[in-house]
Amino acid sequence: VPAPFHELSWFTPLPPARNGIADYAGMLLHEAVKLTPCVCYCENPLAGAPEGVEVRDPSQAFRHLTDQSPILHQIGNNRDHVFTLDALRHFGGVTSLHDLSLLYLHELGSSRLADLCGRMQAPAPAMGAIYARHWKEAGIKTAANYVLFDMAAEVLSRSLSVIVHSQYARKKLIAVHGEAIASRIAVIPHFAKKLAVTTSRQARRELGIDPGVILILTSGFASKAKRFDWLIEALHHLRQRGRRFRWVHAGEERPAEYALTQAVHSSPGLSEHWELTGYLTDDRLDRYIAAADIVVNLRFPSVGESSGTLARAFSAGRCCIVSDTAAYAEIPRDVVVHVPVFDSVGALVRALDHLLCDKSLRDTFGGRARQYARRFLSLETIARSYVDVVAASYLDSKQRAALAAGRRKLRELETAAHPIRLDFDMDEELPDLSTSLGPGKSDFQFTLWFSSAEHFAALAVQKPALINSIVGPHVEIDNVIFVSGPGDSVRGHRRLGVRVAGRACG
Amino acid sequence: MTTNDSQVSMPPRPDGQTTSAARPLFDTIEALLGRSIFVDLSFPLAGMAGNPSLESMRMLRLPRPELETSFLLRFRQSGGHMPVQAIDLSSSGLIWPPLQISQDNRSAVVVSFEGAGAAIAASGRLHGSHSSFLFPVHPADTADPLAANSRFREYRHLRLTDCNAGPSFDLFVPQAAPQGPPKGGSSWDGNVKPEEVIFASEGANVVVDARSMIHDGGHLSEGDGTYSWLWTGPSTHFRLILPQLAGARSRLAEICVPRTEEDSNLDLLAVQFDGRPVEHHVDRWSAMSGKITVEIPHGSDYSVLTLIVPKLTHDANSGRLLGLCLDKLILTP
Repeated sequence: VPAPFHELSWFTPLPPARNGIADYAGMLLHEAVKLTPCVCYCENPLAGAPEGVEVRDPSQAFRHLTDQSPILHQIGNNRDHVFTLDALRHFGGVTSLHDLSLLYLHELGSSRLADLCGRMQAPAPAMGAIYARHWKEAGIKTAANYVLFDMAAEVLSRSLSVIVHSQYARKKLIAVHGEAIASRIAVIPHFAKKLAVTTSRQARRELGIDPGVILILTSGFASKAKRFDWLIEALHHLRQRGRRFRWVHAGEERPAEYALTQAVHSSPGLSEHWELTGYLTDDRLDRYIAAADIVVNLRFPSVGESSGTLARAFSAGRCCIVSDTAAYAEIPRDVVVHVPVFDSVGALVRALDHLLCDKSLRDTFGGRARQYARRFLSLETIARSYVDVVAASYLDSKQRAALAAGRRKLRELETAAHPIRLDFDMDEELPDLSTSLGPGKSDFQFTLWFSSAEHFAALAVQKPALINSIVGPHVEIDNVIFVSGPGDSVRGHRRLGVRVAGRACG
Repeated sequence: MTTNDSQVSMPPRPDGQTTSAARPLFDTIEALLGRSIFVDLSFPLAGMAGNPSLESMRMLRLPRPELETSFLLRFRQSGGHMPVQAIDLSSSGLIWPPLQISQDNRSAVVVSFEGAGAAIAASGRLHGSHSSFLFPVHPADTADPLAANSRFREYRHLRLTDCNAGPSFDLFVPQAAPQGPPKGGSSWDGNVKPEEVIFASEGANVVVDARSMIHDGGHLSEGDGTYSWLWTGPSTHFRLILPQLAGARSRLAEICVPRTEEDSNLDLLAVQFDGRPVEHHVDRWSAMSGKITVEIPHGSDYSVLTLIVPKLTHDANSGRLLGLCLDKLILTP
């Protein structure tokens, strides 16, 4: 089969970045380069790229790419992906979207709060404007922001196609951003990497874990959404019932986000059966997965994420417990144990109780998980799907040409945009400019005309934040000057103008 | 140096050529025009017209694509002490000579370009500014002679030829330049041969001291006019724009590293050229010093060399993060 591309350009972090998507991209790239020549634009030239993949400087990508260069971006919601988002803005391409909420990424990559405020208003202008104003004017930023304002609109509009890992993710994007994007979203599940060590005996020997103990494993950064509170309560009940097990958390703790150690120690009798490994290399994490009897991977609320550890646990044939929500709910019922997101502790206790006591039940789920991974989640299958999606996106020449023309037009418009000019007479009601100066990166200049300096002073006392109150939070003001107007024939004096120049961001 | 001085140093030769006693290019031009300020509008393609002993003020000619502009404007010249300024010759607000150069009334302004085409294109805006035009003579230059004829009719045309067989340059000097053009010479006319002036390039190799490097690192060059050095950092990535003699790439780049605080910075150094990895060789002088040699890939574009170190060392005295200390870049054609 001929390679579909002369060269497929990836924009992604790679290992050793401590980033699950970097590991994911590294493994996927390793397989994809067998199908088509690939190069990788990565901020770390010392990154561990697979053999045959050249690592290039993303800041000089413009010297190597053309409008026709096929590009694949791996975008997640953390600092390592700021450059991939920038690259998407400049070069377009196909995006593999690993997180459905990108507000944090935009926050890290934006130099202006006004930009974020503008983007928060799409696609819920009214609600977005309120929350944006709270953030900009009062510094109020709640966890709800990160759920309500996904910031995916830009990625969706700039990408030829978007790859997500679950039907849930696809449906959610369509629900929020409209049916028009449906044909451009492809679902490719998270691959299940083959583990180098799959026997529990060997893994435990290498890790120094007692071969007789039943090992429960959790993994990754310890976040609130991973519901350690439910697990701790369930395990506490099970200890009280005399069940014997060891719980290992294979990953790092972020005490600011969730103080896992403190939570475990506050549950009597649990800490002596618990271990926190800290950050693990990929190989060592694989060994912990192979050593595990039960892998617990809870999420609530879920933002549609997929778990690499879970896919590896399938590959290793381990019995897994997941929350019955979002993408996890799509996993077949006979492959994993689903725990409802309501009355979760009770359900967890019952599920774990049975699984701790019944090795054959664990083996049944593990065997089905392994089968599922082999059939649907092999790295070879997933890499082929990726290459196919990218090829199909670029082969659609009409779409490509239209998008290229659109991008050119947009650039021309951005270059040639004339500032919006507006005038308002302040004798009338205060104008509301949040609509006429809506989000959209356009420069503006408006003048508020007052009948006299006294008129201006009176209104300024009455409304101290006069200008901010009539524009949206996405507006950035560059300067304000006083201008003198033509003479007022009735009052016999000149009018006073306040000229405001700036831009509507977002 | 005055115009009279230059005339003294350049007696007309019987064969019609003028000798400059084999001075370097910029010195030769100063001998012709008097004290001069060199503005390099060929940046980043040529970067250097051919003589490192006098520095040009590099300016980035706009318009260019936004990404390229922002990439190139991150660089600073003169070892990092001076920004690379942008200039748009098509702008209605063009100020020439640029405000960034301190020009006294007695200095001539010599503007260098990557070729005749660029010079002809710019001459429309710079005509009447008393600036001289300098560009390398490319055998395959496709500049429109008719356009050149009309643009440079009022200029004197000199052909500066390297007696060491390096690139030749055309110099167009306005008839009414403040210092006055040299006697002799000829106005531009396709049928009239330019006056030949001989200069001598300073050997085959070009040596760029740290104080003259154009880089995007965070630290400035240190030292004095005799010896200078430059620390890379605080970023692990350090990019250098390599000067190109008359727009042509050199074959070999050698970077002298008199010191690093971390030996792995030489062992595990990564080098990129134009953003792509290239092989390099480190000739160790000691555990903490050596010379990095890179074969420069062929290409017609400007040259960006990137050094990436794995570790930065915190310097307790200055509070800076340091990578490699560089003192010289040697380019071999």
